[in-house]
Formats: sequence, structure tokens, C-alpha cells
Amino acid sequence: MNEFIEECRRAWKRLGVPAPVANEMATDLAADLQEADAEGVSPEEVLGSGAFDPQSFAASWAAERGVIDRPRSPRTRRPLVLGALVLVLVAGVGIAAAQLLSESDANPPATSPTSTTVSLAVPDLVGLDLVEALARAQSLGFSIEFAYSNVSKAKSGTVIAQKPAAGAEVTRGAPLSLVVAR
Amino acid sequence: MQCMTAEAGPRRSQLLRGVLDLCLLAVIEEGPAYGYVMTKRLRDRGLSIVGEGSIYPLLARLERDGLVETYRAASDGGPPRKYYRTSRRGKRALVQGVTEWRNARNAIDAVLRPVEAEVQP
Repeated sequence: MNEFIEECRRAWKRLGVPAPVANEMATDLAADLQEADAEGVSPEEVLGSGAFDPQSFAASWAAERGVIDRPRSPRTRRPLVLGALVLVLVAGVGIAAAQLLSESDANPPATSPTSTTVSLAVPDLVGLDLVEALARAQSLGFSIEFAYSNVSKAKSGTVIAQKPAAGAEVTRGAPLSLVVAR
Repeated sequence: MQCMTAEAGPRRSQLLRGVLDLCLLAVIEEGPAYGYVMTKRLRDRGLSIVGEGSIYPLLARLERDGLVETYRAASDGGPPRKYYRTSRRGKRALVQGVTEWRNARNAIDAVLRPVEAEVQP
């Protein structure tokens, strides 16, 4: 589990979390994990799914602490979910209207009424700082996975590649993979 | 809550995401606690967070929103820990949240109850 905490520390450092705050989080987490371990409780029961993704875990914790700049996801997401719902409803009404119209014309409906999934255009995140990229992607409804790369000479923490590419159409909640300069 | 832990599906995750902060406030209201103690209190009630996000970012948010206060104190035979206790605002938020939850639960139950009746025989 030390490795997990070290990964968190590295992530906090990269994200510019002030050392005293990072130390406090690392110390508290280490104490919790140690106590759990002494009771035979797995790290997963303490960390949840975060146990498998120290970088995201560290980033979201620091963001909620307010020590890195990122809009809070649940608040920004709610209106978007509503927006998506409205879109689906509007699309539904549109399709129904189209059907009615085409029926009155005695023509078969030209549009297929089956597509109700909301597709999103992938934003261009390359060149942004990881924290900015996370904020943008999250506010748009994407889930993000990222990996660090040593190859690039770009400033540490800059997004150097993304998949799918900017402009691609994907369904809401689709994962976006980023490569970040170490 | 017990039935929700029996099968952990995506719905459980979504439901939990909406009320985990409330559950955390509720277990903190039982008495000041540090992170792991809260995880244990939740687990003792059948609410394991395995497969879910951890409580730490949520605790940080509760603190930032002024719903909990923190202080450092020695734990039983262990290192000093960061303890959380509900603030006055936190207590109000808890009561309001529980009311919202019960209203939502009752409304949903009213919609779902007939379905159960048809499936059971």
C-alpha cells in the first residue's frame, strides 16, 4: 500500500498541491490503510474503486479539498443531465411530429425514431493542463482516464495526446483517454 | 440497505452517488470519527464502498461546504488522526437531506409497489 500512497504523493506534487496539504492527506490515508490492514480489511474496502486508480483518486481528493482548481463535478453535471433529458424529450417530440406529418402526407416516415442516445463531440484537450482538461471533460459529461508519458518535452502536466480525437462523436459518459507529459 | 449490497450493479452506484454524502453526515452525527471509522460504520450497516468511489473526496467537500468541522486528536493506541464532527450547518443539511430522501423514497415506492405485487405470486 506504500506504493499507492507514493503514487498519490507524486500526483499531488504534479498537480501543484501545497506540500503541507499533501502531507496531511498522505499521513491520514496511510494511518487509515494501516489500521484496516491490521484488521485484515482490504485496501479496496477503504478506497473503493479508487484503489485501482491512484492518480484519479489523488486528483479528485485534491480538487475537493480546494487545493487545485477544478469545478465540482456533481454540481456541474446535474444541469447537463437535465439538458440531456430535455434534448431526448425534444428529439422525441420532434420525431413524433415528423411521424404525424408524414402520416398525414401518407408517406412513410423518413427518419428513424430509434436513436435516443445523446452523442457528444469530443473536445480538443491537447495542450491544456491536466487539471483544466479534467474540468472541461467532466463538465461536458466525459469520464477521463489518463496515463503519464516520459517521451514528450512538453511542460509537466500538459495533455500531449487524446483518444478519440477532437471532433469525434461519442455517446455521453464515454471514456476519453489522455496522455500527459510527466 | 442490505438488499442493495446483495447485487452491486450500475444502478446501485448511481443511487449511492446521490446519497453517500448524506450517509457520511449521518455516521459522523453518531459521534466524531476519522476516515476509517466512517468506512467501518457504513460497512457495519451493509453499505460497503467496494466498487464505489472512496469517502475521502466527499469528506473534503463536506469540510469545504462547512458541514463538518475537523480537529486532530490521538486515536486509541495509534497516531493522531483527523476527526470530523458535524457542524450546525451540517446538522441542518442532514435533516433536510433525510427529508428529501424519504420523500423521494416514498414517491418511488408508490410507483414500484404494484410491480412487486405482480411479480411475487
